[in-house]
Amino acid sequence: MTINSLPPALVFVAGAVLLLLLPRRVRSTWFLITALAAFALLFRLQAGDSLTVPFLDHQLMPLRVDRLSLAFGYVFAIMAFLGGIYGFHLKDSGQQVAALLYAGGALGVVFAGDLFSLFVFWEIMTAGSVWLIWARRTPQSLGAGMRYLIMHLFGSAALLAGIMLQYSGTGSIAFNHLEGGTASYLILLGFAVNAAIPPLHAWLSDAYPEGTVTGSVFLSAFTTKVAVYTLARGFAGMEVLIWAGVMMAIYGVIFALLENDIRRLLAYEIISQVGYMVAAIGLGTEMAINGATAHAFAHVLYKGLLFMGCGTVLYATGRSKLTELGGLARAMPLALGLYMVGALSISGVPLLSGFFSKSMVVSAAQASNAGLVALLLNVASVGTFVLAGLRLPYFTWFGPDRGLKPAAVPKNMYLAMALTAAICLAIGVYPALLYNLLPFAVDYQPYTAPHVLEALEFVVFAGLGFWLLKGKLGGRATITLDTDWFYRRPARLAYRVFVVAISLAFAAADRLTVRLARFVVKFSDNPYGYIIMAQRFATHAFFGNTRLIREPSYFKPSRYRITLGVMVLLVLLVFIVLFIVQIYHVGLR
Amino acid sequence: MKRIWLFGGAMLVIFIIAGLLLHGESAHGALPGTDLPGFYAVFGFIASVVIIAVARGLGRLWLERKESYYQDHRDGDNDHK
Repeated sequence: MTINSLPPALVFVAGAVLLLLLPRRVRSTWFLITALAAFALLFRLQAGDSLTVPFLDHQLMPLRVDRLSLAFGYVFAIMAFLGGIYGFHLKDSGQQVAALLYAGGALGVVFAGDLFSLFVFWEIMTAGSVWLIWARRTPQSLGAGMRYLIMHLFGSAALLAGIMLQYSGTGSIAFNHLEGGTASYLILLGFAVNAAIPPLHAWLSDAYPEGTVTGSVFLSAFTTKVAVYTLARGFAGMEVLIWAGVMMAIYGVIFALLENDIRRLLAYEIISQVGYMVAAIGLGTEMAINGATAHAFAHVLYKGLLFMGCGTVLYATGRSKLTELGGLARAMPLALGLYMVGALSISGVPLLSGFFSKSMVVSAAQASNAGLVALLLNVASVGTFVLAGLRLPYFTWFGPDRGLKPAAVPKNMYLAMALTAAICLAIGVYPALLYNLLPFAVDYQPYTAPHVLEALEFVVFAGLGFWLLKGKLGGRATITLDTDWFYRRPARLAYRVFVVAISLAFAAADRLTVRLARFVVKFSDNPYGYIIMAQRFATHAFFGNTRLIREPSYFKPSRYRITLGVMVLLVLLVFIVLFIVQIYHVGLR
Repeated sequence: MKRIWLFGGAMLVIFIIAGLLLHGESAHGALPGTDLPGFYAVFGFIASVVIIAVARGLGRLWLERKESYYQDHRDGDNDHK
């Protein structure tokens, strides 16, 4: 095995195992070394490299490198490193191991050449990620993590069933473009759960805001973008994905507008942003796949930055609700400034990364003559700016001053944000950096005068709309019903049916058995008493002249014992008989 | 309030003039009308107002619940100790 056939996922998995053997104070450094080593390995990989391992009767392919997988691989490794800096102050090895496994699982899926390896890494990813939610150790995070796990296990089950059907149908487990049929629809269902396509999305908005400050940064990066990769690989050009993506883009924005928790607001916006990528995959042209990849790349970074920004607020104040935040601008200006780089990136402001990645998707839609798709994506784009660029920062850092006294934030958190912001800016100013990584040759020039003008018009007038309506946009202390209602609210009923009813039945059976046993004991103690009782009952029933008794009279042995007088009489009688017999035989002498 | 409208009007005029100057090399144009100068200014404004209104309406009429919604309706731990 040469260095060019070593799956980068193994570096992360080995790093996670070794981390536990190291002394506590060097573990954060080891985390960064692992991420760097993985990145260095990725850098050496070239399109065409692969590794096949014989397994039973199959050839597994844990490494298959092409330009699409490389682009996703790079950004995942970069994000793992930046997340490592953000969490450098952590003394929680559980989170560090979980994050490394999670990143390893993500890279494993991206480079998996066959469906079996893909499934194994898919599960590693699920297992790693759920511990980042549980690591917060609150009752809410425990519940949300469990719901997250259940949804993902449902998706995995569909995926595995699809893989098995695919194998039995075609005899191949290679992971390439999948044609229709039950097998591929089941696989699509598995991918759709991870891509958070409504109505299968509620795990995301439910669980991501309940993760730890650092954990949610990792969560925002990997799961959905891995699903975007798998969709791009397996289902490019599937038309239903266009409309699924458009629906996601709008859906996410509407729910984010209603949200009070800032990290849940960002979580809904992930759904909206992934919608652009899913729509582009549905279009399926080279330009669209480039757009989806570019947008995923940019999105991982700016969304990570946004989660970092809100994470610092949560870290410093212990609060994450708009109704409890406000007036932090003076106390946390650096967090605001760096957050705004991410917010303007996601809004597609020129000179930042989202500007060209998002417009690549929109332009791809126009090039495919899907003008309505482009227009609806633009509506979502306006909503995104209102949300992330205006509503969230305005009510968190400005708005009513609640006299918060934020605690000091570790410098490494700001360093990670600054590095991420720098990459967003670098990609935005010099898109060629990213063009070279995209799967197909790029012929797209974002910085044309009309295009820049269009972006400015959006920003100014969406801002105007926000300013007019900002009285209606403040946080309200509510939660929003979403499709998680279907498994949270009927939980009460399910609990009644599957837990309460069953334990009640068991309790009844238990009581019945004990009563029966007690009766048997009493009956065998005094069977005659019961016979008397039954006789009385019968007499009462037929003639009605006797008094009923409910219980037989208590068994008194002396009642049935033969008295001494009778015994003496019996003995005396025997003697008399013997005496008479004697006289009869012998006669009186 | 008046100043906001004035500012908006002024910006719209600026964008329309800029759009006229740059007309002819439009980047997009898959739907009729999107080429018009100032289209995206008007579109951005209307889209932001509409999406805020839709979200608010849905929230008010249907989706918003008090924060303890799921706790209140959770059986189990509390009911059957």
